[in-house]
Amino acid sequence: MSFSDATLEAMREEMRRDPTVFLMGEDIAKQGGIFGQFKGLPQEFGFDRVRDTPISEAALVGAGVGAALTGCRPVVDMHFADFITCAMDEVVNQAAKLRYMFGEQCSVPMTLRAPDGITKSAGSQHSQALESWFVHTPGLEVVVPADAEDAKGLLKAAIRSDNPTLYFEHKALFPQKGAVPDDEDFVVPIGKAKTMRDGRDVAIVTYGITVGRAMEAAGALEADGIGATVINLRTVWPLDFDAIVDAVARTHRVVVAHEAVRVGGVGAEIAAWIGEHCFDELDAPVVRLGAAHVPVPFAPVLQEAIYPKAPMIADAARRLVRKEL
Amino acid sequence: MPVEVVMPKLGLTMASGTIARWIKRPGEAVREGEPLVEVSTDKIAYEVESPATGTVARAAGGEGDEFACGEVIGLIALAGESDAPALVEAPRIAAEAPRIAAAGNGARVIASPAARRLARERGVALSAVRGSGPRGRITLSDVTAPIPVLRQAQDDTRTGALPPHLPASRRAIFRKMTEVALLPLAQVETAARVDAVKALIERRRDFGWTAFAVCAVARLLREHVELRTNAATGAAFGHIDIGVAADTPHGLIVPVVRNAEARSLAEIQREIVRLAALARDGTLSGDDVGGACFSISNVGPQGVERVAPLPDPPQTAILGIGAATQRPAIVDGALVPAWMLTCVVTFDHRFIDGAPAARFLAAFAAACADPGVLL
Repeated sequence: MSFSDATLEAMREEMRRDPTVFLMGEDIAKQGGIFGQFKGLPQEFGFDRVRDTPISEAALVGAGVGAALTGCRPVVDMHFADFITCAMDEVVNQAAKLRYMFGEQCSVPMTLRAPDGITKSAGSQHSQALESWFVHTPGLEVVVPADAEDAKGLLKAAIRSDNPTLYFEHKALFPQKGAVPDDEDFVVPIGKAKTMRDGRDVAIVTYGITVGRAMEAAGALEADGIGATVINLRTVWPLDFDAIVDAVARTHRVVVAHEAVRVGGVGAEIAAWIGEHCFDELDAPVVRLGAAHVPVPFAPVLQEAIYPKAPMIADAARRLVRKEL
Repeated sequence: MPVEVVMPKLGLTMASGTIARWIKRPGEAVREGEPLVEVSTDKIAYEVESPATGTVARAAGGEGDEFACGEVIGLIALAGESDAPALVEAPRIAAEAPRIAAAGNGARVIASPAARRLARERGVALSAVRGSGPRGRITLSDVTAPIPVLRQAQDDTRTGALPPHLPASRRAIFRKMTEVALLPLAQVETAARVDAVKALIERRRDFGWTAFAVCAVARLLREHVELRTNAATGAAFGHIDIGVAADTPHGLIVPVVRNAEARSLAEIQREIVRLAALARDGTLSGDDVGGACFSISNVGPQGVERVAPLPDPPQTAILGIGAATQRPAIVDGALVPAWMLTCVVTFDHRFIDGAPAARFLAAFAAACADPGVLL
């Protein structure tokens, strides 16, 4: 099943299960979403539960917050994650704060679907990975699926969560196929990482589309006799610190990798946390890999040069194991 | 540039070594890999091979001089290099050269946090370890560096206070036991009923008596903390690694089952078999020896009923078990045959009193009577 179909199935199952779940976004009902990720849903659930909205992210997310406060479980599609900037007040000052400010008298069980990431020269304004902004904001949950299984399980978990949850789905992952458990109750718990493979020499801690790149790197490392553990975080807030401690304690060398900008990224938080809590386990500095601190270039050659792919991850791991870092 | 010859680090706990004998003298030609100098430690005697082909330009220090690991003990002049200064009386820099450890110039040893922790746990002086990382950083693998395969060095009648004809392979244990003889050792002993263990071994066939003892002791040491006191620190060892005395062609060697408390009987058995094979071949690595918190000696395979072994400092206790044999026992007033195992715990009374040692031994006997609690 494709990643895109896995998200469709997640929404379909949750809408059947819970009548308060509904969908809002630009071009999702009539067009079926720019990645086909809403296709067929209006036919089953009607245009009341699958709503096209005007092009105003502030209104869209604001309506989602209001619906959530009154007992619905809205899934709001941002079209591109980059457009979330137009709804920052609704996300950061409203959705994230209300449960706290009203002493838990209300909650905001809203899911924001945010297609993100670098693909096909979409340019600086349509290519970003912005999860760290929301990790920094107390009151939000942030999940980043890496494959079709995560796509379904995390979206269902996000819809069921009573907290506002940002669901960052990489645009390049939509067509990718993967196995998905055939089980309506299959949910990937928020806050739990998955160990994708186990190796003793180095741990690659990552999430989202970079998990696939790390797995490719781990394959190349294996050919060199280097065993790499790959941790798919799945949720970047709240982080699964137990899984991170475990990986550090087993390997003593860590690469943290993501496609988001390295400076101030989620990797910075993880690396600092490892320094604070796993100091005595480290045999080398934690290596952070992320995109260069530049707007994502439009030129394909430049675009491809700025973010970590399998060879860069493998190279960093190799240099750690060979004691060059 | 002449090539430096340094005092090698031959084991985890080796901080310094003593020059036993210069095989090649200053001015003599030497080929790379040829035995150059014999050094001795508290454990072994070892021939250091020449790191280069050339002429021995300088032999720092004579027989009996002690050097920190990593310290320069000689120089090899390459072809065409002047070796003139060396032909003058070889200066004894051992006495005046500052010891690395005592440099006192504020130079900080660069070591990874994990290497520092391991060194602390195993009592390794980082100042004596050569770092292989960037800027000479000491990493985990440097602290657990492989011990070179032991080669029996030539007998040397001038090695310290050792008896003149003592084989090299016995020197380490000679020194160690001389040291142990000074300790106030005490013992507790009991005969444990082991019918249940014997039945289990015969039924499962995937472990033996030694593995059973390691497994039981490791689990008991979680609670019986005194029995894993580290004589070097006075505190308990933080990890439960169990030494297992092994009889090898190179003499007594005590490889270590790491983290034994977390391993199953079958895993412990496999590890013992693996270590025994390496010990026989003399290919144990630094990870396989040293750093145990407690040791076990089993003379059962020799068919003997009782052994009272001596602890291996900085460990402070050791368990000896013999062969399980059928002996007459009185159960409910009736004389019955029972499988019995004689167990002796020898302990350093400075750190451990008789009561905790007896409680530990009683708990071990209870585990023998009901091994199910371990599984």
